[in-house]
Amino acid sequence: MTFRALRALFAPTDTPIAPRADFIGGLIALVAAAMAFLAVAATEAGLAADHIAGRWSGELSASATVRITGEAANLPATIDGALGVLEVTPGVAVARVLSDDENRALLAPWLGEEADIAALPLPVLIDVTLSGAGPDVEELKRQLALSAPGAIYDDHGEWRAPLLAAADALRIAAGVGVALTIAALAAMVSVAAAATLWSGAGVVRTLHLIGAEDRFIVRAFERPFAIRAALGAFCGTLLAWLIAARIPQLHAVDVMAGSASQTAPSTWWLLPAVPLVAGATALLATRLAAAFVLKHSE
Amino acid sequence: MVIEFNGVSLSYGDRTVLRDVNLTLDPGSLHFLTGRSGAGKTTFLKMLYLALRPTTGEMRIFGRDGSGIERREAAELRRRMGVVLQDCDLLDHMSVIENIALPLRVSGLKVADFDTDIRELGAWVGLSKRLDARPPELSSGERQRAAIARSVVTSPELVIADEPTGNVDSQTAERIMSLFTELNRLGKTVIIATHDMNLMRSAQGIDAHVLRVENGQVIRSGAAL
Repeated sequence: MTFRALRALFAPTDTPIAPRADFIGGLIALVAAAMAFLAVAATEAGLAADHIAGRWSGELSASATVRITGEAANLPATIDGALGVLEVTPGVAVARVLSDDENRALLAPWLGEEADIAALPLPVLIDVTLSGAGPDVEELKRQLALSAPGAIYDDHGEWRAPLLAAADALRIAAGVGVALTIAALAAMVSVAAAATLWSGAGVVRTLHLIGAEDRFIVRAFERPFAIRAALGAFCGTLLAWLIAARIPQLHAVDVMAGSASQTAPSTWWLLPAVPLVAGATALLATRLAAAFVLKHSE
Repeated sequence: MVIEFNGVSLSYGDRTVLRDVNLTLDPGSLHFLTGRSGAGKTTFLKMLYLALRPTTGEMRIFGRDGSGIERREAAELRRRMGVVLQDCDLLDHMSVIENIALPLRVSGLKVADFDTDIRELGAWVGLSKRLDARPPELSSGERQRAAIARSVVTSPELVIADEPTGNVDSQTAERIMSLFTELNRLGKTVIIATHDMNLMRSAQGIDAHVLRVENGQVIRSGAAL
């Protein structure tokens, strides 16, 4: 769209050819605001889910755990064996046995801070930090079986898979939600444009009479709808964006991870994008509805 | 030829309104279209300004085949005509001067460039003091004159008027008629549908012809008025 077309759209110098339709225009603005609010809410939720899943998945894939169970007498030898294998395995950066305090912290949400974990038959956990593409898991498992019988290598895949699946489902749900709100806005604007054109049949007849082409008539009617849809959508977007910014729960998992706002996805781009999409949707919907009405008006 | 009809018929379902019309209208001619109410005068005019297409036959407008013409082409041809209807069809939310200028906007011209011309045109139809008024504030005669000004603002080759004096007194009708005859003197082809005999009499002395719509036929009278 050229600057001239934009200026003509937002600051027409001549009296509008289409009669004012304040009531219908107001309804369009209201619907656009509601739809934008829902679209932004869905997008925010989708982005947050995506972000959280991405972070969790990233953290899980960058580490692994070796779990060692067995007779207490054999444990030191098995631990040494496991650590020995891990030290020489390519793709393993650091391997260290979790301390009692760390084990206690892990169990605190279930057993409380003061639990006597020494009395529990807990496995020994070795935290493994991976580097690069990680180790050859099959080879590592074979080496552990030889040097540290009873040691089990866990690459966290069991945890990551459902997390990624849930994130995918949320992304799809958010996408469908946004698509449906756009479709609903288009439908509403189409109905309003068609109603306005039918009720303004006299204006359309006059314009045809003096040689106006359909596209000229469509332009005359689409402008107020597009502007109202864009303004309504901007209000709805702003409201949703402000509310989302004030809901700490949206980033609750990040907060728990201790890195809240530095890594939370920035959604400022929704403020110009949603009104633009709403305005463009209204333009397109008006054009399609008007083309249909004009085709059947003679 | 401005208009050329060869064997043109038009039917609404089973009812044939016009049948086998053969007619040519020369550039710069003036015609009165007469006939009783419901005879098909308006239907004939609607075909001229391409709001209706013939059921059969060939209809040429400005040398172009108007029978199966596309909407866009029809609009293009309409911009070469000026049409005045009985109910004027002015846009009530615009002032008189904006209504007069509307065909310029439709033609993609910048109205500001024609301000003087539009005001002169407004004065020509006797509305120089009413240019800022809205159509609902005007009398029937004033509305009709505004519609005439709008119809000629782009200097069209053909002016079509359907009962332009149907809602006005005889004095105003005479004034409106004088505008049409003046347009004809300027070289425009003018077609006026009317059953006002006084209006036709007022054109005596002018090279005007009568087209009579009767039994679905459009019959041209032999002599000029």
